[in-house]
Amino acid sequence: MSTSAPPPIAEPVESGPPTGRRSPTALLRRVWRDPGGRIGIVLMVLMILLALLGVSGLLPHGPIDQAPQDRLQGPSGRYWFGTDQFGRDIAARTFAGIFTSLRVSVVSVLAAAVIGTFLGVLAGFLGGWVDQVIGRLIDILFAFPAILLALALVSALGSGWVNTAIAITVVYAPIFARVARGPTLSVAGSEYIRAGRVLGIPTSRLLLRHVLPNVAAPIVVQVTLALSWAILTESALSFLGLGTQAPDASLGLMVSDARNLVSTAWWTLVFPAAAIVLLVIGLNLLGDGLRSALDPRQTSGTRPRRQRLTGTRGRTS
Amino acid sequence: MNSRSSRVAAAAIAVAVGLVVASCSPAGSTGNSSAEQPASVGNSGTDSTAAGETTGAADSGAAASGSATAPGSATAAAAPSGTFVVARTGDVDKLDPHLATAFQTIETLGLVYDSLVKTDADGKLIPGLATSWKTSDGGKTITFQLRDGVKWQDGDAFTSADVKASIERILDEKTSAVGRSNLSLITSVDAPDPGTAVLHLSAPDTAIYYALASTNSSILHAKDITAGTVGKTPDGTGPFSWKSWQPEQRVTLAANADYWGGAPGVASLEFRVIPSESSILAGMKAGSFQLGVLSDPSVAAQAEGASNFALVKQPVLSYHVMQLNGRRPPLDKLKVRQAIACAVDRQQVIDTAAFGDGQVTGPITSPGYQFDPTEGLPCKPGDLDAAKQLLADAGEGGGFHLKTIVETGEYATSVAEGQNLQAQLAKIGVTLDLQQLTTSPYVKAWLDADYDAAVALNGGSSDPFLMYGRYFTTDGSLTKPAGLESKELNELLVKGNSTDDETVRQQTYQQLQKTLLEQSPWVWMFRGDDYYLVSSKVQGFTARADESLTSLGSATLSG
Repeated sequence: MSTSAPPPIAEPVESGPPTGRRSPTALLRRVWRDPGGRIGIVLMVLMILLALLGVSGLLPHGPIDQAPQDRLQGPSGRYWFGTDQFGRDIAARTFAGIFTSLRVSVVSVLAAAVIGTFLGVLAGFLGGWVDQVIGRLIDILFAFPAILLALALVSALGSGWVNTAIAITVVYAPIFARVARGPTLSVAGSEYIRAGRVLGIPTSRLLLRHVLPNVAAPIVVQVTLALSWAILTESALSFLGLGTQAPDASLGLMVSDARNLVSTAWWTLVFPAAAIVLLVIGLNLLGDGLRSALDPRQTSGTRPRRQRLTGTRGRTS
Repeated sequence: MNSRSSRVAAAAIAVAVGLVVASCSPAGSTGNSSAEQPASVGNSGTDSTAAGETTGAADSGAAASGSATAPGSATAAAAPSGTFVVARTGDVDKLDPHLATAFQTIETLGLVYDSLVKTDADGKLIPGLATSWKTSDGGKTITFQLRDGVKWQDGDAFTSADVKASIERILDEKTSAVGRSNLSLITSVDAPDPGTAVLHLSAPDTAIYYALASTNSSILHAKDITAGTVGKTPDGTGPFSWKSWQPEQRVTLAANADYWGGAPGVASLEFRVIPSESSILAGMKAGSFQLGVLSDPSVAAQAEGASNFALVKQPVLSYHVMQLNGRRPPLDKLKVRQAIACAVDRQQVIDTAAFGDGQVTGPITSPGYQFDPTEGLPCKPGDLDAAKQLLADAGEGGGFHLKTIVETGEYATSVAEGQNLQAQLAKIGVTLDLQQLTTSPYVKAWLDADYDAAVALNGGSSDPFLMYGRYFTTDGSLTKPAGLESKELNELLVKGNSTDDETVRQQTYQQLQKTLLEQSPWVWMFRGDDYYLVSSKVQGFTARADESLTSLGSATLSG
């Protein structure tokens, strides 16, 4: 079984000629103009606020505080989302679970992005045997179904959020390498890079100042999409008992605990499940909005027809 | 617009799929929790075969002097017909009753093989293949009179040679029989004539009858032992004969029309393997099975109020316990262990982890030996002030951490119990660091006593000595996980087991229970329930505390 569909490879964004720096606020404004992007931003801001509330200690009940006399109560003014079999507050656990999910996904996806981009840019820019070695390495990692690889890694490393993050990093780094390599190839052959070489600019400076900014757009989009898949992977691992360990709150673990209670206590399942859905939808919409905002062919308000380009392949598991 | 909404839709679907998959997944896929538990590491004390309806016999009840009465006042029903389908989560794992530890295997082989003596639903001894027995030589010789006219599945007659060969096979170290340590006092077996078997013991042993009643002490066909075919095709004298086995799918048994206790009421019996308890429940609702065996209280809770089957809750002999490792500080201090035992509100563990299904129990769960479950503790369970005082007296008022192992998987409620214990003990400053292990690493850690505390489900028995002899006698096989050596416990166990005077046994075992609670090597919490979903077409099924399915030998189907 698997809760994982193919992880995403962003539809590549044209890495056009140098377009000059865009400020993050300008970028956000462009995303905000897109209706989907706007929903994505709102959802993610909401989720981040809830996550912070969950770990702030400001809630009336802690996520692991048990009140056995109040167990399995429905949603009420006292317990907004009801209580579970131990009398723990589902609201507090859901918010803390959102924090856990976001923490694991952000850490792992950032690590995967840094490592993957580094390898991809290196492979694309240097070519030759470096490209061959990195390419084969990525192929090997791609050969494993994502969830299976993550499961194997967590089983070997032991459970806990850091190990879960490491496993997700290993699974997603190759995707970033692929995404970074393609645009790097075209940038590496461009006039301004050749000119830079002729001027004697060191390779490291070329890579950092001239290549990286021009391949950044697809990677930024990839990050938001990978975040949503990382949240699903973290939930799946916790659901299988390999991620976050009880009694700590995690959305996947809460869904797992609620499985057999759903007919008698629907609230134990509905709220954590809804949190997963909203997180994933929010990140996907945000990713979509970012992509159109970063698309150089984009003129404000209208979007060009997009086509799925080949060259990167999805993974199935 | 198109591609975006399809991506969102895909994400939503992926989540939905995840949730659906969720509802039929892992922990639920394992069943009879206690099967592979520490319980079975020693001997789960599960009893054997069929014919609950032998009447007249064994009114004398007590161990050493079973009286003989003709068997077989079996309800001579009409010609047996129909297939009785039992759904359970696990499959049989081996076909040799002497090596069986999994409950599913013991349940099944217990219907195919017989043992010398049996226990009834109340845990009292009744005749099996032996119709009577008597002791002599100060309890060191036991003479069994064997039943006449019993036939093996292949038509050969059952004789004392089969008894001798079977017991010698169990005692042979090369067999690695599960029940060997329980029969270790047997020095030799004689078969003076085909209808008599004599056991010679090195010392009086009262528990030996209960050990002999176990499926692990089944009597095999001597011919099969010589030919080495035991474990390939079961060949027994029980109410059902072996027909076929499709691993991980089904076991099919056929009625044994010649069974000495009367032919079964159904023509054949089929055990189906349905890994998910929720699916068993769904199958019962659809009328696909006649009997469903469950162990997860949260699934059983959904079975209430169905129209075509009934939910039978059967308290079992197995007990939920938090074992403490008294060889490690600070648990080596008596007052620290007592403080932990005092702090735990047992009923709260039952309410949260087992959804209220369970009974608070002391160490001894045998129906014949029921005593006050808390007598001996220095305080009332759940008394936090007394617990804190005890900790302070022991110089551990500042609190400490305990590495606590819990099992994920087969033992459905272990993690939940661990979480509730963690919350309860936090109130007296004791922090449980839960370590969740799957079955085999858990059993390994348990056997090596690689923990400060272990939340465990241990097998019970009708005989207190069979329950605790292996833990708390000096030469027990599980003294490591027992966590504590005590001369007093050893003496009480040996004393109780060497007498057949029921009054002395009651007093001794009551003292044993009291001493166990006073020493608090473990925190005994509760006995759980097994759940049987019984189709309304079934008559004559009785659930038993020892988890045996013996009554299927006389159950019938209507309609």
